[in-house]
Amino acid sequence: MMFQIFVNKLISLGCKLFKKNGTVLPGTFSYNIKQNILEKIKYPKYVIGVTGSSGKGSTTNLIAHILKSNGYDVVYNESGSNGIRAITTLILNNCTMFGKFKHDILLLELDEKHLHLAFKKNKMTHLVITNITRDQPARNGSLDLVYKAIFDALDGSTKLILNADDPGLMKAKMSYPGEIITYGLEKTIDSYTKEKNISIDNAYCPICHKKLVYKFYHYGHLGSYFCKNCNFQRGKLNYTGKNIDLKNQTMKINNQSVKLNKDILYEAYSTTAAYALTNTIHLSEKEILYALNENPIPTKRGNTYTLNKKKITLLESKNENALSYYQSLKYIIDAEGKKSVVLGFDNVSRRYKFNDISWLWDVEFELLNNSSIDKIFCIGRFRYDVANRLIYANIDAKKIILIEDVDQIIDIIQKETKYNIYTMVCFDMTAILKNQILEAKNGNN
Amino acid sequence: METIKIAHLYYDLMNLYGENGNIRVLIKHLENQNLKVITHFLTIDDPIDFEKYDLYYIGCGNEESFHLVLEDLKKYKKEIKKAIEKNKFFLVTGNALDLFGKYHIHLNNEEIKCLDILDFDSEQIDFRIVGEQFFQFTKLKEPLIGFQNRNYILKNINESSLFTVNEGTGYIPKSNKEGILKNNFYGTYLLGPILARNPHFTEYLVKEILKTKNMSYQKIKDKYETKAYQEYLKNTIKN
Repeated sequence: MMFQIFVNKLISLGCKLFKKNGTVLPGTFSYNIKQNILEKIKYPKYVIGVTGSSGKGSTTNLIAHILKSNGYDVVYNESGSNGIRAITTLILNNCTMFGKFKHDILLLELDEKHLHLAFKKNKMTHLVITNITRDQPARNGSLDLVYKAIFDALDGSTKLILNADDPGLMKAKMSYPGEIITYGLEKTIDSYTKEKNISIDNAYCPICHKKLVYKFYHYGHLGSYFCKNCNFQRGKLNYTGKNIDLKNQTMKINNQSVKLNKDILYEAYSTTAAYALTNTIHLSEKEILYALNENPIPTKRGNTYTLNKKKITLLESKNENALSYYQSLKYIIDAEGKKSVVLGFDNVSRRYKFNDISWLWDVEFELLNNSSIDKIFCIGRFRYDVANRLIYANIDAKKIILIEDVDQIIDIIQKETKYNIYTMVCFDMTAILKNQILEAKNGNN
Repeated sequence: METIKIAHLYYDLMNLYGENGNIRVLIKHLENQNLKVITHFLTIDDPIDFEKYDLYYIGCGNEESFHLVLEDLKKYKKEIKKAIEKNKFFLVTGNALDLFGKYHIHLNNEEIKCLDILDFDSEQIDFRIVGEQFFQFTKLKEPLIGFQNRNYILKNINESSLFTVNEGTGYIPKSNKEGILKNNFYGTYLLGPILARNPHFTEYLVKEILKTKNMSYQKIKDKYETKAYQEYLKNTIKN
């Protein structure tokens, strides 16, 4: 063990000296020497995991923020690298040479499929599960496989903090032997009651297999549901988010007024989850509210640019995750004024080489069929597939512009629209767009 | 005006990969041929009439959904068999194909009795077959493109295949045959919106449907479908 910790620390030091990114590389070496290294560490009183298909990064950041604001000694994977190698790097670097973890709280954002590698013997005291939704099926398979991967790594000793709006997660209530704390969100102005005729997951009761009835949906299969046939239901929540006002970035959690860091619904989920977790590990309401309301996380800058008086906002959207797209689309159409949108990608994934584009039909592009949308620019290698999907969303073909020349994207957009621009392209196109925006800005000066 | 009736079966269970795309594409292409299209979305506990519709579609689902659907479909076994014999159209993608075979064999060797309408078995395997696919359909010059993501194979097959494999995976790894074709039953392990991605195959299918109505096909230029297909081939096929 000592040798592995030494290797990890040495390579980390090397990365620092040579100014290389040291989040994954040290763990790659130390983990491969003997893969059970993490089982041998002497962990602190609190080992907290955060996993799920989406929202685990922002939930982890909020939990870390609440803990740090109140002077707790917490270590967490700030970089967002959540695979086994990055986690090994982090844990070993924060241990003594004898394998004793040096801080009071270990907080980890965990990849759903790597959780069992990190914690085979249930060292986790708490685990927040944000949701299980369609995400990278070429890697993850279907939702039931993700659920299985998570729960196979748990034996009941870990306290679960579950998003009860997800019926696919709430089935744990029937089978998980340990304690479960629930959170969820009450109806918002954007909730809807009719099932959408697009992809639906978990539409049936996981217990008796009759169709679930929804009082309302937030998006996808998240909402308030019950089974008419058996007792399965979202039920009474331990932590309830309500009065959600995204415009003013406020909500209430268990009747306490809370500020939201961002004007998007997933932030309400993340904030409620972080509230639930920190309260569960005995932080007082006063401590939590201080961190959220009086000492909020500084708002991130750098994703909005101004070019020729037009605002260009770069939104992150995860390919193969229809609900991530849904939230970006919803954000765009809810933004004030007329605007144009840029969509596209060169590669579906950065983790694997497969290009499956079936998920484009799971995304509710119909939302763009909205009078506030001026033009939609399709870029990247799959621009024709994206444009075709838009046509099937009944979007006026005149609004759709395909950009062939990847070097001219920003120039063409500037010529074709006079409104603010929202891009929701994938990672591989964001860098190209950023460069072209900066070049255009320099050219103007 | 002639009417075409489509049943999208188990739309809320067998929908893992944007399967709704196939229905939307079919509706549009059939309407382009001056047909009136009536589409019904049916699922468990809905009565399903296997005489009423011209085309039945089922997509891909997870294991739990597969078993729920299998149980529900069993009550229509005779009617489905008759419908296939009477040349009703069936489009079946992903693991929905396994429903129609004799047995579905689990990893633990448990044999699940399926509809036993078509002569083949399916078997779970302990690895996943994931990847882009290029298949040849005898009636078409250009290949079909698509995707697979499965942990099951087809074996003991005494039916005609639908495709030959140019690149990708057939019934089992290394098999050069894929899919089942019987009368107007088109079943394939290709998943998701195969009609959206293969306009030439959609055209073929629409022509076949029109024949049953004694109507002739009018070529209508699509806006992006053909271009998307060509771009994909251009970018993906190695020279």
